[in-house]
Amino acid sequence: MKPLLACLACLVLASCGALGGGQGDNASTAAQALNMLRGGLFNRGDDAAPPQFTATRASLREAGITGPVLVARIETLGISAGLLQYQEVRGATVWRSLDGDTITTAGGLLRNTRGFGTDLHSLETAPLAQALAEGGETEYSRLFRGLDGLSRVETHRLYCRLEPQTRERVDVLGRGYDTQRYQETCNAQDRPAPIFVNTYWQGAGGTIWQSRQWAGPVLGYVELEEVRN
Amino acid sequence: MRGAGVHRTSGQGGRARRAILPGVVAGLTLLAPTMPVPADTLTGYRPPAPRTTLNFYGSPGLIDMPSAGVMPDGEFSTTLSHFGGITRNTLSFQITPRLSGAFRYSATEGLNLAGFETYFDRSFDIRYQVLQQREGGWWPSVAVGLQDFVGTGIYAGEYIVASRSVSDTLTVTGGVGWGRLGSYNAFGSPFSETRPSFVAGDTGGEFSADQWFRGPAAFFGGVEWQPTDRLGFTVEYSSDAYVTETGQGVFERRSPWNFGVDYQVNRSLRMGAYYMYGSEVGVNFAFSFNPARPAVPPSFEPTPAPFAQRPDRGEAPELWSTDWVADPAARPGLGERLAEGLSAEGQELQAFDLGANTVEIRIENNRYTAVAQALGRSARVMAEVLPPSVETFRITLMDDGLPVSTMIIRRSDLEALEQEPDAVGALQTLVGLTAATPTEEEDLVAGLYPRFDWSLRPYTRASYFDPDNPILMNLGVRLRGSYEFRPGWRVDGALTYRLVGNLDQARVSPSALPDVRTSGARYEQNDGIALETLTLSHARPLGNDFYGRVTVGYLERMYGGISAEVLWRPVTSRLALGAEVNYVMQRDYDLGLGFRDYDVVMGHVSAYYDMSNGYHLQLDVGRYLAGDWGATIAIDREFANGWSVGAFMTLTDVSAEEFGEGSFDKGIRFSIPVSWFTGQPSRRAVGTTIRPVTRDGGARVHVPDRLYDRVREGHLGNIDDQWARVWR
Repeated sequence: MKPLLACLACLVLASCGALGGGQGDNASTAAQALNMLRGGLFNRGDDAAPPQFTATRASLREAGITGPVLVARIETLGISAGLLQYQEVRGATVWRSLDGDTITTAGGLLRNTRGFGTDLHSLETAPLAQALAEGGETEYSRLFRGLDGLSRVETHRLYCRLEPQTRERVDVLGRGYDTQRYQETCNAQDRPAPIFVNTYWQGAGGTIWQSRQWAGPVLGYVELEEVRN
Repeated sequence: MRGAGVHRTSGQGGRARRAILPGVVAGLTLLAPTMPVPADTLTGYRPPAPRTTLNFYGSPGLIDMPSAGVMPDGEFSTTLSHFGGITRNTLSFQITPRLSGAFRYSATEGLNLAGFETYFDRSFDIRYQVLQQREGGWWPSVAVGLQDFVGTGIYAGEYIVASRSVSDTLTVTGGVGWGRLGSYNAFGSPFSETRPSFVAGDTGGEFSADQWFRGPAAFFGGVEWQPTDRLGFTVEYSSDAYVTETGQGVFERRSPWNFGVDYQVNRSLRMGAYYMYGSEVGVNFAFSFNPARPAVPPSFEPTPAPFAQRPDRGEAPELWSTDWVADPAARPGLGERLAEGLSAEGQELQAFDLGANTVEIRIENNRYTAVAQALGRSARVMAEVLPPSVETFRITLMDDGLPVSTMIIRRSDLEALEQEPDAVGALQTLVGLTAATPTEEEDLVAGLYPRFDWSLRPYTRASYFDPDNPILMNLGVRLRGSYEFRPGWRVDGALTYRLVGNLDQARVSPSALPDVRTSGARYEQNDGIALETLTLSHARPLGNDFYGRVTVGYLERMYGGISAEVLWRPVTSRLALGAEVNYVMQRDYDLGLGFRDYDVVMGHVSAYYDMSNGYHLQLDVGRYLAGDWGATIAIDREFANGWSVGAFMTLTDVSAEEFGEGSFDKGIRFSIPVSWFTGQPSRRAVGTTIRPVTRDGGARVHVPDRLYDRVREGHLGNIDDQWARVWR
């Protein structure tokens, strides 16, 4: 009835099926793979070091995960996790962790996070997407929206410059892609230092295979990798 | 505002979710050891603690003298200072960015006025910053203040003061004071020679405009040096001669010079040690809070799952069929799933109406401070449960069975907007809000009525400012019960049993009026089981934006009778008008079922205005408990996260002499949502109403569940203020 919602359910069922099927080896591999995927997003307050994303393409396949996976590393929290594609809404992709927290991207560009503490409320992506499509050195503006101490939306206009840099080959979970590296610098009025400097590795066809993007002042920079099988 | 009299605060509020915790001021400091500073949403920069420090009067100042600084907007502070046998406890609030007010309770040991060994006093201050020093500007900040401005008070004084930061670490302050602040080394009387002198035992309490800025004036000043964000040194020259205190030998004033060092322990606590007036050691503790600086940010509450999307209609048209409506199993099945999903979000499903394209649910919000959040979470549950053919969601907010408003929202808008960068603003333009209609019998959740609810909880009751015992308190258990036989028709009652306490020692002071409130202490003599309230009530929308309520029974501890109220408030209106008529009888002191022989017909017409910037005005005109006629004006500042701080005063045809101490009824009140402390959603709040003196003039009966606050909560102004939480 809800195919999009069903995505995650399928994954869970697939793994459950394996677990329940009495195939001992497969079961433990699948469980391990899910654990490797889980990462440490949701173990705040746990004294143990947060688990990291350690899955491989093979272990994902064994766990029955065939759809795209977004690997996110959040530097400030010292964590990494794999998020599964959960919804596609009007050009935006919602990636969801097994524990229910989400990252939304549009064409690989970070739009919001939910469930990571002081989240990125929202950052406009359309002007940047346009600039990346054009490919050259471009100036444009993006709107940043954050919540203040009273939970009211505060909007700031950012003035950004996108610069193509070198061509690089990046490795995403053991698979190489030829990419163009871009650097984006965004400033706000009356603030001397840039608010952020993002880096994008864009492959042929416009896919952002890898990026380092700002997720608001509290979360800081998030490293994203898109894994497609 | 001094001398004999029973000094009580009356905890108002009776509504279950507005639990009152007296003594909250002390509790705050324990609950909030370190508080985050409000950060810049763009850079995360957290400014260090404000440069302005609070003085011994709890006002922005040096040590004992004021300065021209202001605290951050909305800052709510309590200071405790002590030197030379003088203790001052002050609650202060930065009402607007430039206007601030304070309420103080002070004790002077050995000041034998009006027959007390320790002289207790309550006083109010107000101050306004007329000029603010700009970065790179030449002009200093300038503030004008009235200290102890109602009554010929012991602390009465006025000042004009200028402060200028000459570097990042150094601030110089100089000012002119009158009254107490013009009592040492006066240079003359610039405006008027005569000033009424302080009279101990005077009823006080009146606005003493005839003395402001009159009489001798003197210069004061000082220098503050703050070499780090946390550490400060202060030298001041005081223009207060402490005439009354030194005359009674409270302490010896040998010098006008005061010296001190203070330290910012964390963002909420600043403490200082001082050498004062050449003879005394002093200490000052300042605890500061700000609604915009939650103890735990709400960002750590659980986030909802992404909004459920319907399958594509083109790909799966069969799923969009409306045949389900005719299925007799649809209503019980979907009702159960709705109730379950809503319950997980702290929302109680009370009624629902299923249509092929439109579904209405009626819910009671038991969890979220922000109504917008309750509506958003409920819409998510509807999207998870309801068949794809349902396009319009109608969510009616109920308050104890009273339908308050209906939000109308299109499912496809919710589906489309959640991931949009401007999801909050875009959705706001697309939702509709209408007045709710009465609940239809056939829509009720099967088996929900009649319903019975009860709770057994500890309670405290306190009285402050009694001259013999500044704080009197009872601790006991309260058994509450409610029986709702139809939506909006209910019986509520509460029994209390005192376990320990000393409230029975409260004084009963004589009164020239019927003792409608001064007899309050007599009701504390009962140490057995007490019937606090027992009421039968009915509330309902009357149509055309009118709401009505009738309540009969034991309305509060001191009065029983009948109360009827009508309120007019369109859902999108900033203005509301209301009328309430009560016939009440004074209850027996034993808090049983009997009545005394005092009864009165009283009531008010009321106008309420939401000024749309967080300020709320209320004017009530009518007859009060003692049969006096007059008006009450109240102003409250309410913050988007539910914090509220306000003040009220009542003037009636009772003269100041008849009224007695304080001259007229007045007080301050505040309420802080529990979610501000915990970061977790909750409808509970802590707070209290503080009256410096409780007398019989301008007194009202506390009718539970008055309509305005219940109705306003679900209306546009309130929902708009917290709208950003709709997606959370």
